[in-house]
Amino acid sequence: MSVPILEAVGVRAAYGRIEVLRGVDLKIPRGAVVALLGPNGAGKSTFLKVISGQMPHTDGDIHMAGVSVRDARPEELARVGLTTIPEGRSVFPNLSVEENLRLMSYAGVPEMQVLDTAYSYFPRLYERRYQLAGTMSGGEQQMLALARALTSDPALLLLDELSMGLAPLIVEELYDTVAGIASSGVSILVVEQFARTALRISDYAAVMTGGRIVARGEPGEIQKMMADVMLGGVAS
Amino acid sequence: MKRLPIVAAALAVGVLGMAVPAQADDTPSYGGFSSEATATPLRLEVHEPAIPIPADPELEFDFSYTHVAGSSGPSATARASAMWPGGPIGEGLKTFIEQLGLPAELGAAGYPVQVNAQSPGTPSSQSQEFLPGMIGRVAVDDKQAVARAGYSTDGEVAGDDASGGGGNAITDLLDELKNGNLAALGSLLGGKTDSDPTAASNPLGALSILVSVGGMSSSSKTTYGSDSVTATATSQIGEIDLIGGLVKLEGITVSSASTSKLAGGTTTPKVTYGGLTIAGIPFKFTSDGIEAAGKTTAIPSLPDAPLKALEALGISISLPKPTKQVDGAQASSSADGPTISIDAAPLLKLLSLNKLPLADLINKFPDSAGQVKSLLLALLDAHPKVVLKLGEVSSTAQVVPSVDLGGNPGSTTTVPPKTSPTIPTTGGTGGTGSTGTGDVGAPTAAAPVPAASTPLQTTAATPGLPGVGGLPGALAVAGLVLAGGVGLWLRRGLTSVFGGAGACAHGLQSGLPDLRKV
Repeated sequence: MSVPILEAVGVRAAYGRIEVLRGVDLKIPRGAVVALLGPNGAGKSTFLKVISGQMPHTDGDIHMAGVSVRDARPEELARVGLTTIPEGRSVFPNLSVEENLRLMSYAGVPEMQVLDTAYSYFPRLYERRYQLAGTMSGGEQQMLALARALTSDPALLLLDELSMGLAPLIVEELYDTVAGIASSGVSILVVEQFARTALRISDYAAVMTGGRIVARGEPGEIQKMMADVMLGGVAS
Repeated sequence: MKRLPIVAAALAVGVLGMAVPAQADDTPSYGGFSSEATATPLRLEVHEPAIPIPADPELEFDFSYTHVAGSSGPSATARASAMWPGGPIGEGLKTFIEQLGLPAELGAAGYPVQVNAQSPGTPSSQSQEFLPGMIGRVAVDDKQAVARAGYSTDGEVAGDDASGGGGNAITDLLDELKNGNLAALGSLLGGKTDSDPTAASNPLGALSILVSVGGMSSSSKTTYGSDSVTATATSQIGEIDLIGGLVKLEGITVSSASTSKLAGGTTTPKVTYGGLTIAGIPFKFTSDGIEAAGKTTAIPSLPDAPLKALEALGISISLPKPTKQVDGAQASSSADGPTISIDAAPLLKLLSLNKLPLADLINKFPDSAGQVKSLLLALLDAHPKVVLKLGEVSSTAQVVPSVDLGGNPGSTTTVPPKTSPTIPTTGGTGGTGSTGTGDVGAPTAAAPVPAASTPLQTTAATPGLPGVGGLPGALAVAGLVLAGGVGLWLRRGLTSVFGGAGACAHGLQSGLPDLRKV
């Protein structure tokens, strides 16, 4: 069995005295899409922050490609191919679409390559290239955030609440693109509160509640138990 | 690659540090900002795990809710709602409808009872009359974001229902309670009264027995000036009767105002009560204390008999203290009005719901509505805890210094000096003077100007150890080199013997693999 691109072993993390992650174990095989599901406040976003180096963990280990990356800084992880798309998109609202993308060229990728990658994945961004990012719809802003991430040539992509505040049709469209990205060999960890769409494109899934992974398996298995987990056990 | 540190610095500061002045003549003294204000005069929380909503609390209803948020750019959003059900339902209504197996058309248009505005973008302003007399207005531009909402739950304006729940009924109730007759309050809460308080159309439904609210409104506002950013949140309730009039409050205003400047932030949370009557005793007070007969004193506890009666019914009342935090330029505060916590278990016994054949009725639902059916069956056994807050506001504001995008990648921010630099008042040395060190006195016309050939005398700027030279210095350097070498040798030796156990508890090397190449 090949070495997973990401392996979290007993990861714990806390905000002050409040422990949010209570021993998280999770593996992401190379090239796989893993959906991390769970209710609001389960610790999913905190887990992403810990993986991406934005938040220190208090115990446990994080291995990437068989190497311990304890104490690695976020910018160091970003340079070696870990890319995070945070919840809320975080595009620069007063810059145009093209200016938002051009910022990525400052990381070393030629500007033409950045724009070519972005527009080939999302032709709609080409139509909007001179429009201020803040004036676009939520779905288009999410496309821009995805495009910006893709131009950094990620090997491991962390997606936090891609569907937040978006219309279901747009979410379907975005997840189709995520499936396309995955087919190019990028490993993806998708964090979602609402399961159905994320499970559609996932190879594996895990459910987190109360800072722990409480279930993991194939998407079909997880889909069956989601009602129990998400609905507090009332829909069995 | 020289640009990389600049980009990294800009991204690190994020949205806060991304200010691009819209107009050259209106440049703020700060580089970026973030502000937020939220207000609701009546918040109802339901804590019940059986409710299938992945949030804590599982259900929330914020009446006359307003929210504004602003950030560098400037970009801002504003929202007003007659009744905001919280983020999970308000933002994801359609998803919930689907998850519950209900017709998708019900949630196709999203949550309807809200108006929103954003800048940049459209709409920049919006208003809606959600119900007759219930108005929500939002407006956003490049100077401010404002949201306002207000209405009355009982369809009457504040002040005109002064007789509701008061008078002899309360006196009688108190007498009964003092005599140890808990059934009197139980009867009231069970709805067995001569006059039916729920007769009027009321969004609180049966809860209006416990809480009757007159007119209410809230406003949230954030403004960004040339040297400061301000966020204010205010909620107001005209008149409230709690527990059938046992506690009566008039005119509660809960406010929070936060202002941020580079020099520091300030914030003021406050709860003001226009008038209060506890068990027939009138008081006037603010969140700083009760003002009665010219004295400020602590709030008296309720009389023992009613308090015990309330506890027996699972009801408690608290008056939370406002909280505030100032950290440099960042300022934030929050304040809650009187908070009533209701454990439903004793009340449900009084209401005798278990005697009704509700389970049989629910089981007659068609199988196609299985999700709803199982949900309703579970709710029959639910004992929710309900928390009512008569006003909840919060505000936060923060400004940050400008990002230095000049030619010095090592310097990411420009922090203004604590004291203004002394500016030469006479021509004197013509540009050879001190440049912004602040504490250095400027040469005056009478001061002697050193000749260009005069050798400069250097002095130690700060006290410290003298430089180490000669043999002691060489020995120190050699010692450090030797120690480093021994450390490396030990690390390699341990790694080869124990398989890298020194690096990771699982025997893996530490480092940073290139994920694109492995």
